[in-house]
Amino acid sequence: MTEPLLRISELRIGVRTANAVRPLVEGVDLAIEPGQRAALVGESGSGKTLTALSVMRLNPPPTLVTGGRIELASKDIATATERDMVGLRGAEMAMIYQDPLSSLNPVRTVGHQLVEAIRAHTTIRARAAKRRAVDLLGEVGVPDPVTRIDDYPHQFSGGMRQRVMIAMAVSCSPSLLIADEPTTALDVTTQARILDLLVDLSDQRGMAVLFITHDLAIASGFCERINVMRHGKLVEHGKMGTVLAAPAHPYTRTLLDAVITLDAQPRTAAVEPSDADGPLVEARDVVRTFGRSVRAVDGVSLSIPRGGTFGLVGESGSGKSTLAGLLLGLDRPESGSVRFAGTELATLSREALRARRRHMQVVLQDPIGSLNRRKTVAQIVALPLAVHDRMSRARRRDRVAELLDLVRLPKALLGRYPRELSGGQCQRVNIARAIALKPDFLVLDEAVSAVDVVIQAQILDLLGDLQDELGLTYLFVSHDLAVVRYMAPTIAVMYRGRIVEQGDRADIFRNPAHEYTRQLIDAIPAVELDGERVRR
Amino acid sequence: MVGYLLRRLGASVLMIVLVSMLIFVVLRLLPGDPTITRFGQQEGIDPRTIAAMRAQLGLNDPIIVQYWHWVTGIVVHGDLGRSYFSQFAVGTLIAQRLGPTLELSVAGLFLAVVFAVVLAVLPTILRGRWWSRLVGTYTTIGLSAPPFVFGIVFVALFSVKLGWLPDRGYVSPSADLGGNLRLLVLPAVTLGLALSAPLIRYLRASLADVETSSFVRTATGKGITRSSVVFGHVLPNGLLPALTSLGVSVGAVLGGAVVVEYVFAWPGLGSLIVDSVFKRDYAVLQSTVLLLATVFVLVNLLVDILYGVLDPRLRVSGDRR
Amino acid sequence: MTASSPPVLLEEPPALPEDSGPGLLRRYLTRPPVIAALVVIGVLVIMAVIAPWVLHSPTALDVPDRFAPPSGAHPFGTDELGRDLLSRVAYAGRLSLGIAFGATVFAMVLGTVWGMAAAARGGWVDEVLMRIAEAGMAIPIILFALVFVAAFGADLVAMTLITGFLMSFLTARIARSAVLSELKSEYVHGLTAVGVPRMRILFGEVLPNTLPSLLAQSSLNLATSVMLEATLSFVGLGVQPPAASWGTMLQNGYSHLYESIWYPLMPALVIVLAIAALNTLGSELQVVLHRSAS
Repeated sequence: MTEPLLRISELRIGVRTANAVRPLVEGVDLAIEPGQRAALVGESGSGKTLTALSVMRLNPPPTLVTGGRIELASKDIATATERDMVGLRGAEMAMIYQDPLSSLNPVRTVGHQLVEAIRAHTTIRARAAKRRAVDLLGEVGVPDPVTRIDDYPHQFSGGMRQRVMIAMAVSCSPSLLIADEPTTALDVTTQARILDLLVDLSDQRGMAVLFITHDLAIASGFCERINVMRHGKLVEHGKMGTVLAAPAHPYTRTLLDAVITLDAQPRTAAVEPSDADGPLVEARDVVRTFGRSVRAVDGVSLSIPRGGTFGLVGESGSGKSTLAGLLLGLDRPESGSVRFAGTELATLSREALRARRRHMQVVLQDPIGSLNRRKTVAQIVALPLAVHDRMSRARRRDRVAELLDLVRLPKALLGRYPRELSGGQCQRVNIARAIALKPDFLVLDEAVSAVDVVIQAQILDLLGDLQDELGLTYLFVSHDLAVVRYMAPTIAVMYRGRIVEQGDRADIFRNPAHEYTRQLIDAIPAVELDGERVRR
Repeated sequence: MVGYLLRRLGASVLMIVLVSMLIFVVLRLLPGDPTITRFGQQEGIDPRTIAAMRAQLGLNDPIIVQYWHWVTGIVVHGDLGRSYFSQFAVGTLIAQRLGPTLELSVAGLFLAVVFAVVLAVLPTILRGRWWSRLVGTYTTIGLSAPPFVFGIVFVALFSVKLGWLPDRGYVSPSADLGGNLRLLVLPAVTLGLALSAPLIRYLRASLADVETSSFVRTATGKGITRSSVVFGHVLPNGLLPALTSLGVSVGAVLGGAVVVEYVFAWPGLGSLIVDSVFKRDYAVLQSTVLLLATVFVLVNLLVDILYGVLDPRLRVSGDRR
Repeated sequence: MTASSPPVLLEEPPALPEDSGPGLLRRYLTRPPVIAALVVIGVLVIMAVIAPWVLHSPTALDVPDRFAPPSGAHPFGTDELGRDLLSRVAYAGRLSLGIAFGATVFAMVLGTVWGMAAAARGGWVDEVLMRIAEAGMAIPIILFALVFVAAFGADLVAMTLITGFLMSFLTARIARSAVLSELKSEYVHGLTAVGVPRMRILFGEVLPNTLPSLLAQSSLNLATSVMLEATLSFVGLGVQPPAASWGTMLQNGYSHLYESIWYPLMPALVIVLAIAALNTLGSELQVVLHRSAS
């Protein structure tokens, strides 16, 4: 065994509050050998980012390292002076972040920022540094680097910005790169290309990578070692293949089970959808334009049978949420028709449309933001009942209790406010509110995208059960093709306002007709059990 | 960029028109008769004289016509109207007072910016808790004291107690430059202190915001020195939004000058306004206030344009992909 | 994909209960600056109410003892007629604080209706309403106040309404942006989708949520109106003698500066204290709200 490049032992991090230090990370041990790629996997709030930042000693106040050691090439970070750190950062270790836009100075050109990084640790002249910067941009795959070097960060796309960040990070050939969720904010197809770039750079330069992610599948394809964190503690670590083949800790097991891959057995509904009395929801040649020329929805037609689940997949900005709003009658199309249970929505008066909302409901992406922060769970769930049904207080209370049962929430939560609930609990409250009026049609607009993967699996289970119990019809909207495939037997792929492909999920995966669909399928990461080699 | 400029210019013109309407309508809402200011409450004035006076001042016309005369007078002939009280042209009255007000405002604003930049930036560079608290206390007091309260305290201290500086008055700089500057010190410092407090608060909030931003973390992560981080990243981004507050400060200068001029018997536009309120001289009042409002709107337009030039996100548009 | 694990077990721990809405008030009221500010305001209000009974009569003359510096008998000194300055300052607080309170209530009601109408209707209504508010703010508030005082005079009702009206521009803008940010939030989208009528969303859900930030603004408005009253009265265009407010006392004191420097300094001190306390109440509330939102 070679001497580790980075060794973290017994690391403890806390946050200073008014009169105490509240622990956030409690005893993390971790080692990375030179040239090795190690994953640090955990859900939001597990302390993984804080651990990584403290290696660079960039953890934001009022958080502070309260114990343990961090050694980089046998130099102790904890006792290093600030001047030592200036020498280490950038030269020995560098970091890239989740959001490349906010991580780049908006008022300086990318060239300026690159040159600054290069000259921080070398004595070369500005002209030479700029030539190096151009080379670096080319190396990370920014097209036309000679002209783009004088552009500002906001002039780049998300993926290109992350490439700039990577160029900056590797500019002084550090031996360790810390990558904090570097692909999470990007579209899936871009995500795959950035990961490829990181693999290449790490292989060519023999650069070790500490890869922080919530996504076990991505980690498995990218890293040789895995470290799993939960609630500020390291629960498991080891060789990727070994750990994934036989997780020792139950949490790792749960995490692994929750990952939806292409090999996963799709869910099958208990009741077959029926088109006997016509489709429940039908759209024909729907067009919706914003501003002068942005065609958010550009001639879309689809039909959803009663009791069925229709999957709608597309990247951010593809127009899928706009389409969902049109189907719900929350927005009106410029042309084309939207019918719900045979009725043309555009012909309804405002009042009639509002009354009809009881039959069609929606669950949105942000679990906490979708709830009024100053109302209790009981008030939130009871509101649709109060608006649409005249029932006695006692009956309403009974119905709310019943709904909480349906979404598997304890009644103890009735008096709580949204902020006192976890993200998963909030999403259950949203679902309870949505099904309160026994709707026929439920739009799930990225409803599981903002929650952690384990919670996502639970919510998907719940949604499946509810469909079987209540005979709901779903429109399942997501950017995640694997999840859509798992939920929906019929899938439509949306790209730049158009549905480029639609049909049975098996057909689509076996034989994608559109280039974009192929890219989406290729970009789905698979859990790799053989950690030695990277397969993409 | 050109489209943006034209839009901003149009909005500013619209704003000035709206302001002029507001002033005009408010001043015409009152039940009294402006000719009273001319003749006072004397007994035995011939009603025909008053009627003739009203006709001469155009007060019998519908309010829209009156407004039209006022506006076209300004725009077409550069005529700001004539004082009801003294019969002087308002333009002449303003011209007499413009110099002292300009002198005081520029001095006050200059001092305010110097105080603010020094006091807001210093804690960022020195990073001391102690500094930060001291500046915080200063800001709280500065924000709570009406401008003239500083003035009273200064006069009490430096004129009455210590006798170092004159307490009030004005001499033209061309007549006696030394005397003019001695008289300027107290009102200018008063104005500067009063205006620096909101500027400091804004600057500090903006700098603190930038200090915790991701790109400052990135810069630190590159391994450049603290001073490179501060001067290359924190200050350029932190000072930029403060430009906007500088535009607002100009409004505060104009408002503050009114009272500060009163305290120090400084014969500027502020005193002119207060005088004309006392005399119910609406002709003077409406044009002077409109002038100051116009200056304020134009300065803010200038600030916006400057912002557009300095911030690349506004200057260079477009995601090239 | 299995559902073997019990559902609630793996939920991440919920945020601390103290971060919730109802805990807001408690957290606000326990902040040291807030406590200090409340004490200052409380003392000023109580003194204004009980001054005539507890302190010297504010009108009791003692001409031989005029322009006395602070002493045991007269903690703030005496004025040009030998009247006790402490009791006069306390008594003057009735007018100053009364005008400020009335003006603030007026500004809050007018501004909220104004801003909410703009945000809720949108389109050209919003455009027109907000342009008017911006035009109102394009003139420094003190200049505008002078124009109004010239037009309407400066009796108490006029002063209150003028001050309130001038502050309603900013209040309207604050109310508009608060309502707008609520309307844009996902929960309002959700409520619309549930089929809750628009008016019920506005008054039942959105308005209560904007109240704290409007209260914070109102506290700042109180400070502004104390300052405005003092300024107008100081230049002689506000409260007219023999009625006494902090501003008129300042004016009288300033004209007798050479007889007694304490005479203007004492009301000045009270004005600064009152404004500082009111500013603190407002900005601290904003801090607490900001923290709970992020």
